[in-house]
Formats: sequence, C-alpha cells, structure tokens
Amino acid sequence: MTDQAPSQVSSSRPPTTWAIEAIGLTRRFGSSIAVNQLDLQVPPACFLGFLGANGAGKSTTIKMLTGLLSPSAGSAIILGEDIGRGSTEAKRAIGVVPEDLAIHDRLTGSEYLMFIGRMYGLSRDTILQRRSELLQWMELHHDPKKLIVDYSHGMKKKLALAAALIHDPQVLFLDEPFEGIDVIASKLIRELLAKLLERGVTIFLTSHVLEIVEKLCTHVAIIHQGELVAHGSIDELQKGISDNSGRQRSLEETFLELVETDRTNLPTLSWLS
Amino acid sequence: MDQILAIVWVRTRLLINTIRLKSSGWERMASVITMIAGTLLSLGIAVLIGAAIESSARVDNGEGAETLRVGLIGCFWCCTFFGVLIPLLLSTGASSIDTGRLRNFPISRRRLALISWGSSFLGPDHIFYYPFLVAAYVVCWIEIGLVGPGQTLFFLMVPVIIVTWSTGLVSLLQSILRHRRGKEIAGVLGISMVLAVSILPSMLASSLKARPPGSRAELGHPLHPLLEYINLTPPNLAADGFLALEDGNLQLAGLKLLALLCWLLTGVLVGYMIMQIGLDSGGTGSRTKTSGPADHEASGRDLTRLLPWLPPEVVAVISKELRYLLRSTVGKFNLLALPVLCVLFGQLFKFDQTEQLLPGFEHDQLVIYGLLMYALLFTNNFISNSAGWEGEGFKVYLLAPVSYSRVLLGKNIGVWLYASLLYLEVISFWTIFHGIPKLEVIFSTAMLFTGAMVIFTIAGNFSSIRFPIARDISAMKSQPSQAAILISILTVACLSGTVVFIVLAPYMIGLNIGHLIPLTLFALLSLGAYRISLPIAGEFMKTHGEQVLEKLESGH
Ligand SMILES: Nc1ncnc2c1ncn2[C@@H]1O[C@H](COP(=O)(O)OP(=O)(O)OP(=O)(O)O)[C@@H](O)[C@H]1O
Ligand SMILES: [Mg+2]
Repeated sequence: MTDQAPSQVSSSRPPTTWAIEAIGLTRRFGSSIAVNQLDLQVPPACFLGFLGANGAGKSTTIKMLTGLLSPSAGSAIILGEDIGRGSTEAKRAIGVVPEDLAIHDRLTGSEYLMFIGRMYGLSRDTILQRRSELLQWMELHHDPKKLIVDYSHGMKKKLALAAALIHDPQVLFLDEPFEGIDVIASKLIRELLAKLLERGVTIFLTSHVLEIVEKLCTHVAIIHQGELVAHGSIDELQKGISDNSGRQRSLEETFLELVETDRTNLPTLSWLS
Repeated sequence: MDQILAIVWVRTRLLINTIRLKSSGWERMASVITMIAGTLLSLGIAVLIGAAIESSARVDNGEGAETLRVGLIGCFWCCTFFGVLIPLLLSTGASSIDTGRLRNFPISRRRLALISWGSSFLGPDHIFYYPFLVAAYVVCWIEIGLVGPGQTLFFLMVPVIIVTWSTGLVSLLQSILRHRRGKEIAGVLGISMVLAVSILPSMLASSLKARPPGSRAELGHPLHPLLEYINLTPPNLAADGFLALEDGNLQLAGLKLLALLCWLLTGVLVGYMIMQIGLDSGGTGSRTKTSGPADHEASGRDLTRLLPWLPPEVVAVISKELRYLLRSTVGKFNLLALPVLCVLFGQLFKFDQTEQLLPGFEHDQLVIYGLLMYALLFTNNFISNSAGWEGEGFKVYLLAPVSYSRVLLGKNIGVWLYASLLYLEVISFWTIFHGIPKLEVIFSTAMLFTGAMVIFTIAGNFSSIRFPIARDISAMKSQPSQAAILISILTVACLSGTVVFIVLAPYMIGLNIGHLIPLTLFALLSLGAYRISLPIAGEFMKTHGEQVLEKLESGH
C-alpha cells in the first residue's frame, strides 16, 4: 500500500527520543493475529489519529502501548522507556482513556479523581485544585454525591478523560473518546486537546468519526486487519492517493480506499426487499 | 414452550462455554475436587443420619415410631438449614437464571417466574442436601417396608418448599439491600433472618427433648413459648404427616398436607411478588444501579491524616477498598448480622458456665472466639477474591506508577480495618449485653484474630490473583472460585492445627503461662510471614495482572 517503507510519521527533524515507538509490535489471541508486526514512531507534540475498521486492532495496539496487554512479540516504548517491562517512569508519563474505561464505579466522581491523583503521587492540594477545575470543565460538578455507577455513559467517558488528565501526562492515549459525548462537551474536549497539543503533549487517538480526526489531528495512521497500511501527515496521506483528476480527497475517501473490502457479492436482505 | 426451551439452551450453552473457556487446569481440577468432597461430605452425613435412625429404630421398645419421627425431623431440618444457608453464604450461582436480563424479551412475567423457580431446583446450591433426603427415604423404606406414594409426597414437599422459600429470600434480600430506602427494612429483615437461622438448632434440640410431644413443661429455654409453633414448620409438618399416613390417620395427614401446601403457596406468591417488585424497579439483573447518593461519605475521607506514615498511594488504595467494603451488600450485611449473632451466642451458651472446655480458657473467651471466627468467615470472601469487584477499575493498578506490593498492602490493610470494625463490634455488643469481658480475654482474642486474619491474607493474596472471579458488589451472594474455596479450607485446617498446638503445647510440657503469650507470639510470627510474602505476592501480581484483568472483564 502507501509508503510502507519509512516507518515513521514524518516530521521536519527527527527527535532524539520518540514519544511513542512501536517496534515489531505483535499480539496473537490463540491462532488469530490481532496486531501484526506494527512499526510506528510518533514524535513529541504530535496529534496522531489512529484509524481502522471494527476489529482492525486499534484497541489492542493501545493496550500494548499502555502496558495493559503484553505483546506476543516486539516492544512498546514510551519516551525511551519500555512500558512492557513495567517501567514506572513510562507509566507516570502517560494518561489513558481505555476503550472500556478503567473506573471504580462505586465511588463518586470526586472520590475517584482523588484516588487516581494519589495513585500518581500528586500532593493533596494539587489534587483538590485540579479536581475541582476538571469537574467543572467536564460539567460533572453538579451532583457531587452521585456514585459513578449512576452516571450516564457520556458522563463516565468525561470522568475517565478527567482522570487521564489529572496528573498532567506527556503522552495521552484516547480510545474513542468522543463516542457517546454530547455536542457541547465534544466541542470543549476538542478545545482542551488543542490546548494540550500546544503544551507539547503527544496525543494518540482512535476514533470512527473522521471529521473530528480531520479537524484535530496533525498525523494519521491507518491499520487494517492488524497491519499498518498507511501513515503520515494528513496532507501527505490525502495527496498520496489523489485520483487522476488531481482533486484533493477527503479523509473518508482515502480511508475507504485503503480498508474497504469487496462487498459486491453480499446477499441482499431478502425480507427487506 | 419455545421460549423456555431457548432459555434452557442458552443456560447450558453458557455453562458449557464457561467450562470450555476455563483455561486453567488447576481451576478445573479444584472444582472437581470440591464437588467430590462436597458430595462425599453430604453423603457421609446422610449415611450417618440414616444409620442413626436405623439403629435406634431397631430397639423395638415401643418408641420406634417416636425415634423415626425424631430422625425424620432431624433430617428435614438439616436439609432446611443447608437449603436456606448455603445459597445465602456460599453460592456458586452458576445455573440460576437472572430474570432481570430476560425481561427485555417478550416473555410474560408469569412464565418468567416459572422459569426462575424451576431453574432454582437445579442450582448447585441445592443439590448438596438431596442425599440427606435420599438417605432418609431409603431408611424409611427399610424400616416400614414399602413407602407409598402418599408418603413420598410428604418427602418431596420438603425440598420444594425449601427451594421456593430460599430463592425468594435471597432475591428479597438482594433487591432490598440494593436500594438506599430499603436499608432500614433490610436491617430488620437481615437481623430477623439470622436470628431465625441461629435460634432454630437450639429450638429444635429442645423440642426433640420434649418427648412426648404433649408435655412442654420445663424446657429451660428462654424462647420456649415459641416452641409450640415449631410443629407448624414444614419439616415437622412433613414428618408428622408421613407418620400419620403410616398410622392410617388419613384426616391428620390431610391436614398436614394442607398446611404444607399453604407454606408452598405463600412461598410461591411471595417469590412472585418479589420478582415483580424487582422487575419494576429496574430488574434483578446484576447491572442494576444503586440509585441514591453515596453514603459513608466520611469513611476514609481523610485517611491520609490518620495514617500519615504510609505512602499516599497505599492510603489511596485503603480508602478505596474501605469505601467498597462499606458500600457492598455483603459488607453491610455482615455489620448488621454480627451484633445479632453476638446477642444470640451469648444467650445460647449461657447455661453450662461451669465446665471448662479447653484448659485455661474462660467460657466467654471461647464464645467470643467463636464469634470472631464467624467474622473471619465473613471477611474471607473479601480476602480470597479481593480483586473480584474491581471490574474494569483493576486497570488502574496496571496503569498507575505504583508497585504491585503496595497495591496489595493497601487492599489488605483496607480489609483489616474492616475486620477490626467487626472485632470492635463483637467486643462492644458483648459488653452491652453480657458485661465487660476480662482484659486478658480482649487481648488474647485480639491476638488470635490478628494472627488468623493475617494468615488468611497471605493465602488470600495468592488465590485472588490466581483465581479471580468477577463479582457483583450489590449482590448478596458471594462467589469465590472453587479453587479459592479449597485454598481457604486448607488454610483453615492448617491454621486451626497451628493455633491449637501453639496454645496447648505449653500445657503439655507443664508450662502454665496462659495463652496470651503464645497467641501474641502467633500474631507476631504471622505478621513476619506476611512481610516476607508481600513482595512475592507483588511479583506474582506483576506476572498475572493481565490474566486477572481478562477474567474480571469477561465475568461481567
Ligand atoms: N481478549 C481477546 N481475546 C481474543 N481475541 C481478541 C481479544 N481482544 C481482541 N481480540 C481480537 O483482536 C482483533 C482486534 O480487536 P480490537 O479490539 O483491537 O479492534 P478495534 O480496532 O479496537 O475495533 P473497534 O473499532 O470495534 O473497537 C479482533 O479480531 C478481536 O476479535
Ligand atoms: Mg476498539
């Protein structure tokens, strides 16, 4: 497919340490391979959109990059530290919103943030201050006594994002953070992410909403059936597969071109016709 | 009928799939061993009971029928205890049907009730006492000759009523304790249930002593007015009905059968009503929300100030753990049940104060030990499956830059604090109702409790990492894995051996130093062992953390 050979997200000057680096990252589940020989390098202060169809291996990759899942082969390196080996430094540097979150739902929102803050070794005053700001930003401060189990889906997602941010991570992994989030909150979160990017935070985001990716991300990587099929800055990617007319293509068209399987032989749904 | 078949199919499919997916050979082996041990145990007891009835009935001195009555009642009551207690305390819950999850389908509620009632007969919880019934039945067969269909009916009524009532009780407790508003009712209900279950053995003993059935003169029991009603309970009704048929007293037998049917019908109605309420208020499904703000807001709010010498991340885990314990249904229930047990135990064992059961032990001391063992049993589930209700939250421990031994330390201290709450409860309620125990008693029980708790924790840390099972924090039923149960049983066996040895050894060599010193030594030694085991357990968690996460997430 497109530029398979240079395995790094291009950037004007290659940094000394990559923010995120995957070397031959592979994960098997029994006989099936979820992620196959993934090589990827992300420089600091880069906003990478990681795209792929359902079951392509996005979440599995994120789990391996954050130390939640050990790779069958290869290694995941964050800021020069191997996270698969349980490096504490690497763990401290990352913030994660996993696909199915990591919430203790019998705590209240503020109790949970206090718990997380403490686990990351923040001082009490810092936690109190950041917690109140985060809760207000996420509009979660209205009912402080509510247990998380009684939160709505979107509220939980927002809380998970707050928890991922409270220790001011240098690298942020977000697995479908916008899924189930309302329009207002989604706008706020996009602003927040832009601000983080300005601060030099590296963001690794998966999403199925390509408009958001197109608007937010500086770079895009596409995974198909466990293999990386494209990566580069958004412009490069769109130019890479520009059609004959020379028209600039949308990310969606590019994406579909790369990952869509042949659907011509599909049966029709007989009872609908 | 198709729907029922579909549900049965889904259940078996799920069961088969879970067995197939159980990757660990250990787990499978342990569950087989536990099943065999359980069956052997209940068969053994059944044979004993059978033999006892047999041999006493052989003595043909005219009391044969009376002995048969005692034997039958004893057997039926044993079944009742098992049938009511086991599902409450030790359920595997594997094959009971969760009506809450089915209510999205177009199935009528009556049919749903029928399904859940029928499926509970096959629950592994109930299968344990069926051998009792079979044994009693066989003995009757030998004694009387042919047991007619009418008499068999009385036999069958016993499990049917037990299952109906225990299923209803479990779901009632579950649905009540889940809602904040129901807590007060739950308190009363939980207490009265434990009360009933604990009183019954002594009532039963007294009622059986009171032969012939007419005279209930001096029973010496504080609750003897209640004894008159014990003949109206299902086990007695069934036994009396059986014997009445045997005597050819059809009228009496019919009356007894009618009473039994009343019990059954009430049970069915109550169960149906509870199910209705459960479905209306969001289902009995395990995902049901708690609704209502967090209580116990103060608990663990500022533990950092109270425990300043501990690292903050350990304190964070402790306060999270304490909150979870105090917000869990079982955690609340234990706190409610213990005072009742306290009062009751004190009442029941008041009579023979004179004899010393073990050398050097005060009478209250022994009873308090007994109570504390109950408390230990209550907490054992939190210890041997300590990751059980973390769910997806377990990821935090893998993500956060905290060493695993610190996480374990925090979790353990959390449970210990909860256990000391139980300990304080025992001592204070004992003081209120039976007077202040001697200082020595307080100290030595504290030492024994500490030592036993710590040893349980050492074993528990490993079994919670190796054999975790996802559990629902709002469920009454507790579900450790079979392997974890086996480990706890082995721990208890070793533990009691050690303690008896430590306490009695000085006496054997003629050293009369009391038991405070040996028990203190025991506590210190076990703490030392814990200190050594903690890093090993931490390392174990590092290698197995991923599997724990997988099991916890797939369990929901
Ligand atoms: N624990 C597991 N056991 C077995 N197979 C798994 C497991 N986790 C993931 N897989 C498989 O790995 C593949 C990739 O899954 P993954 O969750 O990474 O997909 P994804 O790209 O995140 O999809 P989605 O967009 O739907 O979230 C899938 O085929 C899935 O079935
Ligand atoms: Mg995914």
